[in-house]
Amino acid sequence: MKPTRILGPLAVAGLLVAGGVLPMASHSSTHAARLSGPVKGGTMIDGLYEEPDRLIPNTSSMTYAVNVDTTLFSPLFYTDNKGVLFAGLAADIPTVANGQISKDLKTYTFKLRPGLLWSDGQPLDARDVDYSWKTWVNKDLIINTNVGLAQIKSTTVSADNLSITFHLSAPSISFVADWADQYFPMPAHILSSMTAKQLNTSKFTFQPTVDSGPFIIQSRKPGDNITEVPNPHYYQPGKPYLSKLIFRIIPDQVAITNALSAHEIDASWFLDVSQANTLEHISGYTYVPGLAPNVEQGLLNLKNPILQDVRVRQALEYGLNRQAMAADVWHGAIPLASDEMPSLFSFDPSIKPYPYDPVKAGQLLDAAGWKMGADGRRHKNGKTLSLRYSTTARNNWRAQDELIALTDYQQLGIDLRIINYPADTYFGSILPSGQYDIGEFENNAYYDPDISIYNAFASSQVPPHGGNWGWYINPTYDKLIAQEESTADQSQRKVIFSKMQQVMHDQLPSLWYYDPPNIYEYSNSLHNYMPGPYSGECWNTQDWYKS
Amino acid sequence: MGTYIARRLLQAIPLLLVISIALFGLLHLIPGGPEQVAFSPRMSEQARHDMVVALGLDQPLPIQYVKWLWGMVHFDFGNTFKDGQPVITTIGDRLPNSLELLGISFLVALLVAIPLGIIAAVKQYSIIDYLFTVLSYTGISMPVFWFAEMLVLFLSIQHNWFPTGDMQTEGQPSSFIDSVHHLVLPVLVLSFAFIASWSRYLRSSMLEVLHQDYLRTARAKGLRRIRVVLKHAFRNALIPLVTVVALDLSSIFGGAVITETIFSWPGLGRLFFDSLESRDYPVLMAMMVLSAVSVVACNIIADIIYGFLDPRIRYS
Repeated sequence: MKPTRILGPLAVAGLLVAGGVLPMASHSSTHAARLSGPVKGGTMIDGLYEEPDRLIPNTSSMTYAVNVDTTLFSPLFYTDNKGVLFAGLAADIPTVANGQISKDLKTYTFKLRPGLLWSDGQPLDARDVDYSWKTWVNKDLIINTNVGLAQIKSTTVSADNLSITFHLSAPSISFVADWADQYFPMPAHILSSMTAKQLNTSKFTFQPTVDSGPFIIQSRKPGDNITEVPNPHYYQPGKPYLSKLIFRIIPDQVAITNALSAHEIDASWFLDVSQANTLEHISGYTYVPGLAPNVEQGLLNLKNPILQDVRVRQALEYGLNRQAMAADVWHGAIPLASDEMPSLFSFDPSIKPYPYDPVKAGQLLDAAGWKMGADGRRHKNGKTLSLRYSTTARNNWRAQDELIALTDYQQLGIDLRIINYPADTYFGSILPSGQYDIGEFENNAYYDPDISIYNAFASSQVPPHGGNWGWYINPTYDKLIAQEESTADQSQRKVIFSKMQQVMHDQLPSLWYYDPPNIYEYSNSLHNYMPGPYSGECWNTQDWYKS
Repeated sequence: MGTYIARRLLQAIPLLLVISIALFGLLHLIPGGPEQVAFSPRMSEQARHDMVVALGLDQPLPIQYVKWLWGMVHFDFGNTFKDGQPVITTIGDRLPNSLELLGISFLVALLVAIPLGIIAAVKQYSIIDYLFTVLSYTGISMPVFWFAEMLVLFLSIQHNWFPTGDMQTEGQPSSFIDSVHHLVLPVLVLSFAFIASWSRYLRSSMLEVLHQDYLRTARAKGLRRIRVVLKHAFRNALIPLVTVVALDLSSIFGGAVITETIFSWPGLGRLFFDSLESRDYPVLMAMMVLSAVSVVACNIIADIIYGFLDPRIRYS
């Protein structure tokens, strides 16, 4: 049974898709047409940069844990390598037109395919979905996120156990998108005997023994590898094609490059651009700077009075040679960011990135009262224009970004102090507590732009309530968010998103650098390896095969 | 001797207690706890607080320490914050890998360093001695990561003679030959640094001993030179080397993080580094205490060996 898709014309005609981002596939052969002829058998070895921690779905924030989870558990909905939404375990994608979403956006019904089985042969149905979300909202369980789940008031499972209806406390435009690629149903018949606390320390979280994905774990050697073999009850007949999938843990980017160069692994994803010169020239392999909904930004801490003047923020954007970052650091042309990723449906191409114009930057600073002194620094009311620039430590390309920023801002008369931190400390402590002035990091969009990139600047998300780490408060912007979240009309949402994009462009609560790709490399003997922008590396391991 | 050992072991208990308190305090001085660094940035503040309570991190530090100590006394080191598995299992999974890598490296280093040190001392100021000196200083001062990467570049990537890393070839049945094949490069890297430093120590102490009067007397009595060097000089020159080797031996429990990272070797060094990054306190405390125990134990063993090497040394 092939994954069900929504017909393109219906989608374009205004079919309401909660959380729909891009048009869905127009007909059933489009998805299949992207695949080439498969060959059964073979072993594929994938190099993983980090060892996954918890493998119970939605209990880990690690990208690599989610990747491995995607091979073990099937989602209700998923996106492919182009970001097109498909139904997975679900029979179809809920819409208002097919009656699975209420007009007030407060009731959602997910229908599951009949005849689904777990890898141990037990039935997989709506009761597992019901068990899963209730477990994820249990405060005793360590989870990655509860986005979309907190608003579930109650659920109803149908008599045949094939559908589950969610009753939400407030309208939600993105409820289906919340479930795409991340909320994988868990086996209630195995896990319900444990409390949430027991789940945290169970053997199952380290090595799931029952799952619904294309593979099951045969063995796991800590720090070394995870070996998987086909799931005999996978819902897509005849798949997966590989007879063995091995994740080899290689905790160093240079070591991954070495393993690829020596042809010891077949593929690796999320590679470091500093290795590009070598990666691009490995014979028998293909190097891909893949499409990714990422934006590299320099978030501005608006608690600092210096940065509360929009002229200063605009000067920082004009005065930073982001073209040099894109060209020199990323080895070629990657798009400059205008605050939104081109891959999102809401992207407005008429809003252009700021050009590099240090003269204009200087004029803006002069107008804001920051005059150049004899010491080569700008001063105002006896104060020096001095800013802390922070990012993650031990990151080669961000170090190069910082050198460019240091040089450019020094020429503008800005005293830039660079203070970097380990990634865990930076995201866990420094950004949320505002111990920075310009904080560089990569933001990622999800299937619906509302989920991350725009909500990150809502005033309701100011710490400790959320991830608005720049303390940006703009009532006009908040109103636009509320408008966009209250309608399922995609064309209307696109107009509102355009206005929001304009606000981000004009007000600059963050500096917008460029859209970095997700770099990956794979052996030419490996087929159908095509990581997705939202779904990651392993969304289609059932289709991989080796020649 | 038995009384001495028992006394040393009893003395070690308060010492380890003080060390554990110091380590616990130092660990909590590191900025950012696991609730800040390990948990998902997308968690709400309430969810983060719930996790803190679930892991017992909301309790005062002395209470946390006492609970940890009580567990440790019962050999219950708790569960890791990272994947919730028992700490003792997590460390136990990696310990054999580190013992294999470092144990073989130590053995190789001893087998090479001892003859080198003896020859360099006996042939002092000869070409062999100068060559040995240059190689020793190269080994001592060469960065491990650079040496490892050069070996991988030339022997693995360019010539495909050895694998770039890992313990065994993935996807194939495990075999002794395959394991040895994977051990060659990391053992070469680790043992080179030990050989360089141990052989220098032995050379120095041999030079001190070789000029002693009793050795001249032994030669005058007609003993062959090799017997004088190996039976009389070497045994007396061994004591300083025992001290150094004993301290280095205790590092098995700390692993070799650089070598393990470059060669993707799943040992204790990488485990410690990963746990430090994610503030996995239970793993860190267990590993640091194990390291402290191994240092104490190795020092006791070294003291015992002194007694065997030098009959003048007596313990009461």
